Amino acid sequence: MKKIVFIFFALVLFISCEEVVTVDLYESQERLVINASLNWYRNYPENTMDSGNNQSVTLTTTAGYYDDILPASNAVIDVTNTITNEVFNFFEDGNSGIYNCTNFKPVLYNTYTLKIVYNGEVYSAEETLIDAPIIDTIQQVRGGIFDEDQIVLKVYYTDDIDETNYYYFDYITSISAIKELSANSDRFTNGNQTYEIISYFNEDEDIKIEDGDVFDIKFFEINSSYYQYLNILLDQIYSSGLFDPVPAEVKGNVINKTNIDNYPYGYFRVALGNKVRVVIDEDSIVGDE
Amino acid sequence: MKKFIVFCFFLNISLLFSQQKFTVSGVIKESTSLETAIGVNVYISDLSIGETTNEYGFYSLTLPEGTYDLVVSYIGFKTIVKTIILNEDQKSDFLIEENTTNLDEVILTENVSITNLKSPEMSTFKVAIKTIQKMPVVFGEVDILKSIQMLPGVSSGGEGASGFNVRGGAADQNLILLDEATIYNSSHLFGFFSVFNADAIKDIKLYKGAIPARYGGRVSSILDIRQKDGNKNGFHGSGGIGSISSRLLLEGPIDKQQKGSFLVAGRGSYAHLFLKLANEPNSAYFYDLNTKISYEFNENNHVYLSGYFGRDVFEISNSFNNSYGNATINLRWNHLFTDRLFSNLSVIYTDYNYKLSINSVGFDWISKINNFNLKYDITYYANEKIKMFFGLNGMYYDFNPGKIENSTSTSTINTDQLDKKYAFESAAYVDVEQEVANKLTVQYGLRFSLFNRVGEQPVQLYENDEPVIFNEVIGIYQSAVPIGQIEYGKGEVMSTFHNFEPRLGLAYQLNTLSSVKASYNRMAQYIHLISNTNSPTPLDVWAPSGKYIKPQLLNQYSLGYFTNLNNNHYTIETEIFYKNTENRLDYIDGANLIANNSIETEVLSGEARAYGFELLLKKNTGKLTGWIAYTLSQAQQRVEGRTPIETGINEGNWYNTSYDKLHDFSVTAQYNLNKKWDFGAIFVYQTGRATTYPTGYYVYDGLNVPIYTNRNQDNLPSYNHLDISATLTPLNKKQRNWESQWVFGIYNVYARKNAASISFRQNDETLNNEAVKLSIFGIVPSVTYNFNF
Repeated sequence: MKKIVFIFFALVLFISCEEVVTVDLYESQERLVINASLNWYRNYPENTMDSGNNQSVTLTTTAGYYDDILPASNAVIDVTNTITNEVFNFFEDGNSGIYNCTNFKPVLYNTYTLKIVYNGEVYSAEETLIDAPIIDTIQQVRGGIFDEDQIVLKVYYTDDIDETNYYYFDYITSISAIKELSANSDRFTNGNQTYEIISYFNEDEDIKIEDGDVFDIKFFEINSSYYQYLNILLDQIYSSGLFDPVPAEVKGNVINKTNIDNYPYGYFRVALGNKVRVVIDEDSIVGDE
Repeated sequence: MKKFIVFCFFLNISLLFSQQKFTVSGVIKESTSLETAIGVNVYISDLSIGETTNEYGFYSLTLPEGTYDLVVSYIGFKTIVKTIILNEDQKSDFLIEENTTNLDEVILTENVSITNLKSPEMSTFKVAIKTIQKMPVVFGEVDILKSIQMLPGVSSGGEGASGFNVRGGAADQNLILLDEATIYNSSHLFGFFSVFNADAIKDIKLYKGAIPARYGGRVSSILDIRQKDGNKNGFHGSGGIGSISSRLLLEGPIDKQQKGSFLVAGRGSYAHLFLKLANEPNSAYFYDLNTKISYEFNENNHVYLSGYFGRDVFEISNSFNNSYGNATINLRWNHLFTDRLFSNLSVIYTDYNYKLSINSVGFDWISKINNFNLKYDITYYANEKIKMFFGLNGMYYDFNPGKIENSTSTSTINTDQLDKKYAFESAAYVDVEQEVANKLTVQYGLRFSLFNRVGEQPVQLYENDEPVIFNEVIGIYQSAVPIGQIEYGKGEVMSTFHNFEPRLGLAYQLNTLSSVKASYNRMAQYIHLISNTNSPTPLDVWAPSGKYIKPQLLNQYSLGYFTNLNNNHYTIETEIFYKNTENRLDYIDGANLIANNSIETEVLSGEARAYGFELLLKKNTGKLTGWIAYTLSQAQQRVEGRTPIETGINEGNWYNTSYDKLHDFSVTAQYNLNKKWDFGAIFVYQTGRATTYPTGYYVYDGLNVPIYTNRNQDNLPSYNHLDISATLTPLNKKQRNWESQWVFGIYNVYARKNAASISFRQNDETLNNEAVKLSIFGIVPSVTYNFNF
């Protein structure tokens, strides 16, 4: 909601112009970056479950703004299921910084702890596997937020009135090189069947979603900590230039137990999510707004 | 001994006789329109005693019995000298005639400067609208807010930023009054235009410091704007048709006895219509309406009814609509108890609301502030050495922070009403202006302000009374979950705050040409604009102080030196100031302020400070007039951790506020070539706005994330532009009633793309990181046809 509103204001300043410039930037302390999203998928609409056995954790380090990212190698990573006490080890593929595990067992509502030993320091985090929300239906619709002719998707789901719920969408379309993330709470829609608009917007009017284009969507329910993390993260990634809040450092849930000031970036998650692939079919498009 | 007693006897008798004082008082009006004139100098040149007319054109001088030459002078008008025999209290009204000859023929004698130099008034900018109308126009229209930004100590957040900043103060710290009614948002279209139609304005006064006790409620500045009353002499109109906006004003008498007048002025922009023709579905426009009726019942009673209505509208195709604006209506009654006791009673109602509709989601949002305000102000002109002000002020607030509604039948949005908030703000003050010694004038005063937050409203309760908690494990601030709630009944007092606000000003005249001034003021502010963006947006909510949010308290100290050179042809004013503020709100990272019913869970209380040096050089006479303003200043804020473990914001260190500007240099010039042509130019050079640049990046979930550590350590590239304008006034040879003028202007002559912001993003095609500069105005030409009849 916040993102939509600020993009609207940015669009209104249609007399403004953007220009790429070079800026001198200082470099801050190098930190470890942990991408540890252990996702287990339920496929929609078939309702089949992936095994969830193959998981990976990627470790990199921070870099100067215009520099390349380098992998963080030779770490020792394992994830423990605190209920069953099973330990799952992750092994690095060469020096890529990508650590794989082929025998991970995701179990709903179990709590997992992550332990990383890197450069002699121990990092750890804990997360609980929560259930994925149920997709009621997905519609292909003509009429986007910015453009009435645009083809968009509406993913319908029903919110639980008794809890405060947070949701997260991760999607990419075949005509785009970069994915989009969106995080919502049920603040305005508590207890209702509601929908998320999945769309692709390009300032070049000739580039539009057409028949045959594909959307790959992942849809999760998340806890309030990850929602707060994503909110701050998305504020840093999506900036309209004019009504942005003050920039902030995004701190995740992984801590450095050896040296608390040398905290890492990134997040550790274990989650069950929906995975959907939608192919745009002109005949399925609903004409409502 | 005997001689001594006789001497004392005679001394007593002579003292007795010399105690006889009489008052000469009256109202000064402009001769053609019969508009009361504000700030006219009325003085006795031999005695160096003088007064200026107040906001209603009234003056009062109490002097010992005698014969005097009373001089009435006002910039742009012919000076009047009248000999009065003061042997009884008398009324002496004046009609001043506009001086249509060039300024260099007006002799601005040292007497004008006496009132400036002697008065402890400092850190103020007072200007009659005639002077502003001669300033170079921006976007084809005279703009009060842009004009005051050409002064030292006043700036704005930049293009696209609404509001203005005074001496390192935030935009919500300025009290903006239009005929005594509070205006909540002073800008149209994000700062491109002000909400004030210059045609309807008679006088403006900006207090940057040395704020007298009769003003309060905001800590940084007071912008007191007075509308014209309306021409009592005859029916007239004026207006302008421009490339971006147009305006029309109609005024005239309402009766034959010239006791009453009316004024109606409207203004609107229509740039969006041109875009509609080009099939651009977006539009942004504004309109406003100023109205006033004034009536003089008799010499001692005047009544005024003023109204203002303004709106901004933004639309993006049919899917998004946003509109907001101020509306005010006020009734004022001037009553003269005696010729030394002037009073004004004001009854004011204000409404500020904003609406947002997002049709694609079916979401409607409306948020409002309603105010009901009663003010009673008395001025007592005791004698030639003492003038006293005292009064009472009471304001009732009704805040509606937001109502959410679904707007379509297919909407999935729940209706929700955020808790309404109510408060009473009241104040009583005494202010004295006293000539203590021959060269020393002192203004001292005390304002007592009281703020009561009342129900009906529920208040959330938190553990340890802390709505914001610090997560020690991760090292971030988070919103606490309420543990309970207290329900307050209607009118039940929830929180009370009171403050004594002493105000002190001194002026010491070094010689007839220069003076040194010093001031101290303590100010309290009970309502806060909740905004964590670089400059205010229409979605920002005003929140009253209460259980979790304390009033802002500020101390300002200033010292200045003023001098007139060469018979007032040049003026130099220089000041230094220091301010510190307690209870300035700051926001936790990722603060979610939109539609948040518990703002207290997103804010932390901190402090702010600002200090600087200001220099103003004015050339007042000649074909070339204008001024050069320079400000060197710093504005910072800080939030320290509440315990040693907490990090505070920005590691608990002082950081530059987003409106901090180290250097602010501007030149305003007007050149009167001949009776037909006038030229104007403005040049501005400012240090770029403070901003935060990333110090690196990393990849998370396939996306590049910039790393930001310390706040506002960087600056955008400098902000500078040159604007020129030319005014052609065709000679009115046929002496027709219709007078006209063409104004040609170019904003940003060398087309510099000033950065409104620089943001850091991943290019969605190359996937590389890039820095993107957003700029709003290139070169903007404008043409306006002004007329009056």
